[in-house]
Amino acid sequence: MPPIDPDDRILQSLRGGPGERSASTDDELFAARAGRAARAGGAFLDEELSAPPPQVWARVAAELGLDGTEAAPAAGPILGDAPEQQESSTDAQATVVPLASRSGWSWRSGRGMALAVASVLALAAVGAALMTNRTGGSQVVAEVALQPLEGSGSGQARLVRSADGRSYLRLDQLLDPLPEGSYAEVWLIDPTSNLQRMVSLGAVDRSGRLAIPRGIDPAVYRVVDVSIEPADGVPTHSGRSVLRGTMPL
Amino acid sequence: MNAVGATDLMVRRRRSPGRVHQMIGVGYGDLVTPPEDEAPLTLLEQRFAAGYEDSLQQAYQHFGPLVYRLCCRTVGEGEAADVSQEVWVAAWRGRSGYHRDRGSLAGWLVGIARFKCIDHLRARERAGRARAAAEQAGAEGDLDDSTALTAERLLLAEALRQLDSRPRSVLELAFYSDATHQEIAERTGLPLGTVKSDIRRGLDRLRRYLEGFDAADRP
Repeated sequence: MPPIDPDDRILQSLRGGPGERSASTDDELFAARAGRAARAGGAFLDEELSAPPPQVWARVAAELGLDGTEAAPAAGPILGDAPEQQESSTDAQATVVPLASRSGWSWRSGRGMALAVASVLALAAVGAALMTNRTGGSQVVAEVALQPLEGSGSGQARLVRSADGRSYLRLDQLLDPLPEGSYAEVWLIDPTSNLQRMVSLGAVDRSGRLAIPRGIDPAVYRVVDVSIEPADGVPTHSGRSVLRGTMPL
Repeated sequence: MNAVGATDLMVRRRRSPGRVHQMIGVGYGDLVTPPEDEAPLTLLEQRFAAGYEDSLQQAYQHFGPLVYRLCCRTVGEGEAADVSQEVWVAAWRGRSGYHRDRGSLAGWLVGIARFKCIDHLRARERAGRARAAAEQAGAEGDLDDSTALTAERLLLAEALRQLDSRPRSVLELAFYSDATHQEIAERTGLPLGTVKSDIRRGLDRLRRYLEGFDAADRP
């Protein structure tokens, strides 16, 4: 790691201005490294990425023996980093509803099973964390792993209650690339309404904190749904859901 | 409760109550930046580390272009596909070496790719097919450095791409214009506190990518 140049202008900018410093030397070193990389080439941020040729994945899958097999996970827990959290919260497990496999979606049952297991384990693991997860006066009151209804996306939704009593949905999702001219929108649905009652929380790319409107009870509107919406100005659900999960409330 | 199938949603619905809220400024207006304690790729990283096979394909879909780009830049387009293939095979076989708490999966994958590219360049050098390129690159240390720098550049660009548009623009201004936080606030019309927190969070994100890169062991 090169030493920090006190006159490094990018670093000054990242700190806030000449004479200011970051919180720690460690931060400074990483910021300096980012600055060094930034200056290394003109097209730092505009690097064009393109998909590798299609045969690459086919060869990888063949070499690893993955083709066509949706095997169970090689080793147990989804949260490999936090094995100590796994044994908790059986009630969280009980509330996981594998909607996608129930409603007969066209993904192979092996994958459906693996994902259902994954979501159960994810919930079990967060169960313990939920008890203690109070940050800045906010409290996570429920969490659900979102299952793909189409494609291979995944996501997590957390219901957060802030100190002033407002409810938010924290969403982290990873979707397959969206069709040109479309965006992802997040909905809460009342599962007892035959899908007649739903609330849009807004559009989110990957991560976001979305306010739940006052008067909307998340225990009633407890299905979290992510849809692909064409940018056509029509303010209703397109009918094309890609992720879904039910809050354990 | 009733099971909710997506097929039931094939008909466009009448305007829902939430839309009304949204139109008076409660919905989109309250959209704020991602919470700093949550990485959007968390689930993928967890599932990859746990060995779920479908997570490899998902990782490939998201980071395949990044790895491929590094290969193109370092070993050339002619051999980039072959080296990419080696990277993904090595990454999956070496997945037990990936730990979320040591950094991002993207960083770790690019770290693996860096080693594969260097190995490839060395082999080519030994075969005498790239003497000119090797001389241009200088000693072996330079080869390591230049490959690592290319990898870091791509990785930082990727990390910035993961940010929402506002923090991304703020960070781009910080990187490119040498503007102070106050100047960025004036230029963008954002509150100074927002600029500072965007930069703070953005740098944290970049840091996690670089840490993942550093954590990759030679496969």
